[in-house]
Formats: sequence, structure tokens, C-alpha cells
Amino acid sequence: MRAYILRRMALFVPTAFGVSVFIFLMLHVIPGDYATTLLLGGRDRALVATEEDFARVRSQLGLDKPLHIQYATWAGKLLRGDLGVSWINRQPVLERMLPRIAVSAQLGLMAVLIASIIAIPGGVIAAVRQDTFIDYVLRFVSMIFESMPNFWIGLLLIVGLLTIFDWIPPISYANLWEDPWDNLMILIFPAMVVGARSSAGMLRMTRSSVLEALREDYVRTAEAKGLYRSRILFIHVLRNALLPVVTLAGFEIVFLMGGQVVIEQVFNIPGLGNLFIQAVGSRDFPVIQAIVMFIAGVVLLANLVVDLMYAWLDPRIRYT
Amino acid sequence: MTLPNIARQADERTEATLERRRMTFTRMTLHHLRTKPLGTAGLLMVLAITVVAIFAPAIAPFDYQAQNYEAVRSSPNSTQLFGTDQFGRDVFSRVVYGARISLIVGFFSVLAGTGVGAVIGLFSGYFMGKTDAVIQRLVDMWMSLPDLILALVFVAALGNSIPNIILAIGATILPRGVRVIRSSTISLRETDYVMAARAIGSSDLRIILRHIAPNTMAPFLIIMSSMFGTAILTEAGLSFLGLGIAEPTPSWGRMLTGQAAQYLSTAPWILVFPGLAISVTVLGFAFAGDALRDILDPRQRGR
Repeated sequence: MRAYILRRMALFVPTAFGVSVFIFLMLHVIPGDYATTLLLGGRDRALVATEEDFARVRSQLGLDKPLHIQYATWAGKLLRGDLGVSWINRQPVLERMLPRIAVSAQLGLMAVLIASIIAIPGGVIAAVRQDTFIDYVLRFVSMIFESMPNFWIGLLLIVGLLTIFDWIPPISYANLWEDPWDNLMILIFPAMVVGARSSAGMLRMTRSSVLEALREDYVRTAEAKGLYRSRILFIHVLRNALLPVVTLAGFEIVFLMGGQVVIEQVFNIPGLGNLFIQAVGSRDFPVIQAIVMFIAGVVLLANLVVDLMYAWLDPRIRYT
Repeated sequence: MTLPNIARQADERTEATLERRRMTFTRMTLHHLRTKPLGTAGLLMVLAITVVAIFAPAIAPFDYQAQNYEAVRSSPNSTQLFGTDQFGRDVFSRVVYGARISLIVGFFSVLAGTGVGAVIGLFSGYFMGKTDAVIQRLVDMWMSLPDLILALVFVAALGNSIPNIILAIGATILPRGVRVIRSSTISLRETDYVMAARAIGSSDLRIILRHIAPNTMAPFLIIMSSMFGTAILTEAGLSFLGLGIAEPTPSWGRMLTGQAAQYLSTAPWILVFPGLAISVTVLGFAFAGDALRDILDPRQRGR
């Protein structure tokens, strides 16, 4: 057991290292020179910049050094918690990211709460009433939700709110601690859109997990003992069936940190995805690198925590 | 005299078996079409969209680029079925042409992603050991990024030409192909016929290509069909963000972006129809994929 935990934790290191190498190489071994992008702003503004200007910018950014040196410098700083400064406005990247991480995490949490409220009861009903009309309807609806692009649902929701309630989402963002009510009103609709989509996968998982548990021997035993169906369902089945669903929900929160890029754009939410799009648009590589590393790191960490929790919670799983 | 007779009988018997098998195949297909109305509907939807994409020039009544400033944002009518957009371009024609980009990007990215993924999965699953461990860590790493973020990194690095977008979306699909094919390879390598092939001295490559790869066809087709919709959605997302297919090529995602959102309440048709086109296509692939899984993978039936 201890050996397993240690080995599992040790695996985290090469994987995280792999991500850092990948993202670094992706952004550095590419056609085009950032100095050009930076000086000319991507536009073809004649050649007002001289060769010396390019050389100066390159050496300022450390781009004239060999690739492995550049990587070592970046990774070294990363390990010390220094994410570098934005190339566009010279702000420290960490400073720009922190408030946005909070926003995206809150949005992710709200979305998953909404998804769970729809998906868990829905999935249980679909499983208990397997192959009935309600089962088909629930599965059909969840497939439809999964097929619609979430930005489109978002746009339609905005139209709906506007025409029916004459209500527009506030233009400026309100902080959760300063103005909790406004903050919730801003985030509730994007959370609904993201949640509707997440609920589809979660519903299907709940359904198949409950179906599997219903076929277990201990359920038959409980029935044989003459227990009430509701007691069997809630005490015996759900306890066992919902563990993977709860795990999925936890993952989803983490994953949504970076997965709600488009919806943040539609509802104009200053989250991590929003910053990422800005950075991609202006080719602000330190910011792109930092965000990708952050998202990958959090997801890998969540993987690690879940694996360890399973090892601790479920004595049936044997680790060799 | 008896010998050829037996041979002929055996021949006839095989012929009869083959005949019966052929019949059952047709009947099975028909049976599936009847018992899986959603799958059939999905298949028809996919076929219809493919036809629309191929014959786009014949179906679209207008040039997708033609701007008619006398009919800007006109509501759907008998000549402009889906109305016109803010530049007076016919929305119907643009949706029709948009099918091409969606299907092309979807098809090639899925083919590239699952194809390369399958090859990696085959070798990873067959050889196990260290190679497998390394490849699985790479897959973990790859999968730790949300699809859109990964695709955006590719686009940011390489630019947003159509081949690059196919590459970017293919990259998001790749790890799932590896996972699926690897797991079926692992179970296949323990089968008796693989053991037998090894016993008579077949090379590893021959075993993989002749004995294992053909048997991973079912999971391969399943993952392809289920990833198709995801690929189309990712492309729409990229284009919506303005980082996918560039104007003037009509792409459904692109049609929903930027200024279009301003006409949300006054000219909703600009937004409704492209979004509907994406949804219907993705739904069609989802239904067809589910039915395909039921047919090819009996263990998953009713799940």
C-alpha cells in the first residue's frame, strides 16, 4: 500500500515534466519569430524596426540563447513559483492569473452543482425505470444537450432572457466578496449552460452505475429479506453506485477550469479561459505557457488525489 | 465414386452456409434498422448532410460570398429560406457550404487522430513493458488538457490554416484512440490464435498486422464515429473564438461569432440556423455511433 502510494506519487513528476516540455517546445519550435510579432504587432507595419531592434528584443526575452537553456531558465523559475511576466503589458503573469483562477473555479463549481442536481436524480430514475418511456426521454434529452455547441445555447439563453424578461447580463463583473448577489446573477446563467452539458455525461454514468449495482447479489439478498424498495435503493444501491459519479463530478470541476473557454467569452466572464484567449490572440507566450501548465498541473493533481483516495477507500482494489 | 460425392456435398454445404450467412447479414441489418429507429435516423441525418456537402454548389441558390446590400438582415422568405445576414449574404447558402468545412475537418481530424492513435495503441498494448509505460504517461499528459485548450495551443503555435486546424483537432482525439485500441490489443494478445501464431514463429509485426489489427476494427469504428461529433464541436468552438477557419470560408462556428451576436434579438435567424446545423450534424453522428456500437459490440448493448 505504502509502496503503491509512493509509486503513484512518483509518477506525477515525469508526467508534469512531460507537459512542461511539450508546451515549451510547441511554442518555441515554430515558424515565425516572436521578436517580429512583438515589434510589428503581427501587422506588416513596414520595416520601421532595424536589425538591432530585433536583436535587442530577442536578447531581452532570452530568445537568443539555445533552446535547452531557455527551457531550463523557464522551468527553474516555474519551480520557484515565478511564472514570468507578460510580453504584452509587462505584468507578472501570476498576478494576472490569480483573480481569474478564482472566477473560473467558482463558475466550474456552480456548473457542476447544477449538473449534479439534474444528472443524479435523472440517472437514478432512468436506471430504476430502465427501458421505459421516461428512460428514453432522459437519455434522448441528454444526447441533445451534448450535441448543441455550448456557446450556441449560451447565445440563445441570452436572447431568451432579453425577449422574455427584458434582462441583460450585467456588463461589468462583480466580485463575489464585494457584491455577492450581483456576482451570482452574472455567473448563474453561464453555469447553467456549462452544467447542462456536463449533466449529460454524468446522467449516463449515474444510470449505468446504478444499473450495475441493481444487479448485484447483495441487492437480491436485501430483496429476499423483504426490505422496502426505497430502502434498498437509497441505502444499498446508491451508496455503492454514486462513488464513481461523485469522482466524476470532482474531476469535472477541475477540468472545467480550462474547459469553459468559450462560454466565458460568450458571457464576458473574466475567467482563466478569457485570459487564455486574449493571450492566444496576442501571442503572449509566457501567459499561454503559464495557463496551460496550471491547468495540466491541477488536472494531474486531481488524478493523483482520486487514485490515492480510491486506494484508501476501497480495500477491494489490490495494488501490486 | 464416393469421394467426389462427399466433396461435392461438402461444397454444397459450404455454399448453403454462405448463402444463409449472407441472408442473415442482410436480415440482421434490416432488423437493426427496424429495432433501432434512432440509429436509422442518425444514419439518414449523416447521409443527408454528406449529400448536402458534396452537392453544395447545386443546392445553394446563391454565392456564399455575394453581398446584397438591398437585403441586409432580411427575415426568412421564399427566396432566402434562412434570411440574410448583416452583409446581405444568404444564410441558407452559407449553411449549405458550411457543411463542407465541418465534414472535411471532422473527417480528416478523426481519421488522423484515431488512425495514429490506433497504431500507437497497437504497439503499446502488444509490447507492454517499458514502452507501454512511457506511452501511457504521455497519454495521461496529453489528456490532462481540455480539448479546446490543446487545440488552441496548436493553433497559436502553427497558425489557423485548414490543415493546421485538422492537425490541432486530430491531436485532441489521438489519446482516446490510443487508450481504446490499446485495451483491446491487450485482451487480443492473450487469445489462443495469437499464441498459436507465436508458436509457429510468426514475427511480432506479422502478428500485429495480420492477427490483432483486423480484430480491433470494431472498437476503431466505434471510437471514430463517436469522436466525429466531438471534432465538429471543437472546430465550431475554435471558429467561434475567431481562431479557427478564417473568413470568407463559411464555417458554422464562424457564422455565430463576432458581430452576429449583436443581431441576436433583431435578426435571430443569423444565429439560429448555423447553430441548428451544428446540433443536427453532431446529433446524427451520436445516434449513428450509438447504433454502430450496439451492432458491433454486443456486450455494450442496452447500456
